[in-house]
Amino acid sequence: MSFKPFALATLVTSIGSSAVFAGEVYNEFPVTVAGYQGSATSSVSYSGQAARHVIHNSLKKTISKGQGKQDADQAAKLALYFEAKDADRAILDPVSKEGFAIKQTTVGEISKGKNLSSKAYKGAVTAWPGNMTGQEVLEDMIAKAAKVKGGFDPVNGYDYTQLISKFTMGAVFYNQAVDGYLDEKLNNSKKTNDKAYKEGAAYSAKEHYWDEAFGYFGAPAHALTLDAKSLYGIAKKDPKYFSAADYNKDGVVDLKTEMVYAHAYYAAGSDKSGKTNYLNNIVSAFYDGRALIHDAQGTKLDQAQMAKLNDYVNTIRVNWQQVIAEAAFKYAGSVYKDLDKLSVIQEANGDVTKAYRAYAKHWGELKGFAMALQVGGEDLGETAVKLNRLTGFSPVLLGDTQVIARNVKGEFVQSSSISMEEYKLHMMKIQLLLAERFNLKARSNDVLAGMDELAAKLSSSTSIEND
Amino acid sequence: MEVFWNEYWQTLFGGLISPQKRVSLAYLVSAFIIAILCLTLFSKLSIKNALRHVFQAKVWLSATAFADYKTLVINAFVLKLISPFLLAKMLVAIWLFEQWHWLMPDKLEANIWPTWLVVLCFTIFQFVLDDFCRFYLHRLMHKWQFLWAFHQVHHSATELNPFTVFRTHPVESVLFSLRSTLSQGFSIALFFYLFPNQVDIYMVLGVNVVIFAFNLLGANLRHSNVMLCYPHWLEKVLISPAQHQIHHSVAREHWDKNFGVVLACWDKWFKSLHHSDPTQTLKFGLGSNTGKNHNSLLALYLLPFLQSARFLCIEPCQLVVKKLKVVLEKRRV
Repeated sequence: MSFKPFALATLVTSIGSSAVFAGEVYNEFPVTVAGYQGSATSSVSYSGQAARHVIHNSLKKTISKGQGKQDADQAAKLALYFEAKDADRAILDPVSKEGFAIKQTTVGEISKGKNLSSKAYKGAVTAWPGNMTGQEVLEDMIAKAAKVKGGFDPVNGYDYTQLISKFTMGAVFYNQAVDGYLDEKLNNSKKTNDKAYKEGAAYSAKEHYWDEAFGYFGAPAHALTLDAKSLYGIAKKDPKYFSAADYNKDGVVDLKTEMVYAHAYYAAGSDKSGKTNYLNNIVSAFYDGRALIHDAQGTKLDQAQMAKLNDYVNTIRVNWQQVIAEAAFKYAGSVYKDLDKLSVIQEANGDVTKAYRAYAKHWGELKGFAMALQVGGEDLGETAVKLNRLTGFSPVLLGDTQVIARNVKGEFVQSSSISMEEYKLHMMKIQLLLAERFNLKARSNDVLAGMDELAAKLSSSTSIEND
Repeated sequence: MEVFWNEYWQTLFGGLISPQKRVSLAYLVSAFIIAILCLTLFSKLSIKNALRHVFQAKVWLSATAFADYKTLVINAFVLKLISPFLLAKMLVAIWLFEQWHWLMPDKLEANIWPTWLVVLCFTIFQFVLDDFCRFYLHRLMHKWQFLWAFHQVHHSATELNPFTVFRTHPVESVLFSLRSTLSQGFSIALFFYLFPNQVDIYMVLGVNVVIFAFNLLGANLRHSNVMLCYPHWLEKVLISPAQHQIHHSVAREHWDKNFGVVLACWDKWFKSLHHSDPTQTLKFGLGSNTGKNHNSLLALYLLPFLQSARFLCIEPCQLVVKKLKVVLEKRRV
């Protein structure tokens, strides 16, 4: 290519990109890789991550529908959404419903050859008994979930639907994005921006790594055009928000680019309170970072550009961590309230079945997110130790026992533990720990809600006045 | 450093506009109006003479008044320095909140009381507890020689004006801080435990409604030369400005009387209530026999440490010697 046509192509691309930037829609960054011969107009590609999101949702659905020991095929059904890579796997969630039509019905329509297990965290997980890696923890949980009805193990107080879902969000999505793509991979000096990621690809390695991290967050490409309430409504498949989801107005929601998943859903949930802006902070940083790579126009990123890009990474990392911590905080508050309810019912010799089920569900969500927090590549040190001690390996069960270990057969071992009243205090301490360590603002279900505001309302303790 | 100085100036002058502070302009104006009304209606002074009485030079421009102003400026600085090391009320509240789980495991069912009732109860409870704690600490500062060494700085004022409220030794300020922290932490923790998500306080312009009324209705006259007496039946309920002036009186019969701030019931129960007498003329200070300059920085800040050390170390030793002598005497007998 002679200089003039190349310069002209660059100019046209820049004009095109300016138009795209105005809308701040993530998936429309034009191709900048030099010598690209293909027909793609966008260099953005993260369909593999979208596929993993629907696999995760479908896995969750499968666990909750399990019939326990009567269903001999349950293990195979779960394996389909964890280890298998079949293209014709049906999407169990999200599926079309009245007023909210979904474009794809099989995983293969989004991306082929994708699973969760190969991407699960391979480091040690100390928050779960058994000295296992993140991948092994998930495999073990799935194996056990297959044996219990609805994924609920009342003996140990485990709601596997929640445990597996939330820990997958950490061990796969969060870990892959923050500890992988935005860390070692992005900063790999051999993976430069001046050549295609692979033969014939419309994107460079830097572009692709950045996009894959964005895909794992779970926000739709047009997230910056929507408010938190709409994003939350889309994740819930609320028909009221169908038009907000259907950005290209083709009458269906494209699961590749128009759906809200996993962490983006929780970020939107927190932002709905009006106290936080996590989703916007994260997606804006992703967008700005992607624009920075695009602006390099297929040339290597210099030191200053990499430093700026890593600033965006830091914003993403901090806010994403806060999103997970906010979720753990919220469920610690739910567990506290559940323990209150259980205490009242027990006092009245009532039936605790329903309250116990809710307690296990919320504990599973708390534990899953607490575990997720610890697989983002950052050593949380004392915070992790305290968090794990306070949460324990299981909820405190009705006889004041708790899981303390996993024996050689892989069965959980229980021992007498603290009382439920004391465990309630653990929940309060978890909230205090998370709020302080991660500087949380939304603090949903805060056990001490309003206490600091009230303390501030009362006259200052430090006064120079006499009586 | 800039933040420190900004906060310092805020502490020093912010009080003039903050409704949380007794010397805010609004309360000073209301006290002034009440003083003029009191002097013209009850003391039968002309407005001119009433104004002359209120703005007497010896009240506002004497050495004792300047000592009040000095302590205001210095204490704001000292408190700013030590405030990061003082106990935080949230820390106390959270710790006590935790303790309530053990002390009262079978608490009430949530939302059993209407929110307005919870807020009303909290507003009253917090005020009453705080008022009692103020009374009791004040009483201790008079009864314990060690504490009196510091509290006498406040009583060394020979003329009272609203700024005498700032004539306080920093050690006493630390005790006030501890008192407020504990009382507020206690009430917050208790109500948050019993009525989660319902607790709030009725306020006017950011102040507890009762304290607002107290300040607006002439609290500044407590430290003034205007003797506003209440009828005796009311003085059994609320401490009048004149009753607090009696508390500052050098007369022997007025010593250790009227420790209360707003409520008089504490003094009644602890037998320290003394009614005011509109015909009486009071002399303020520590008495004429001390013969010291109580307005110097040395007297205001350093001497209390020496005196408290005396009470803390020398006198206990003397007491032990005295006791030993008694024991030995008994054995001999």
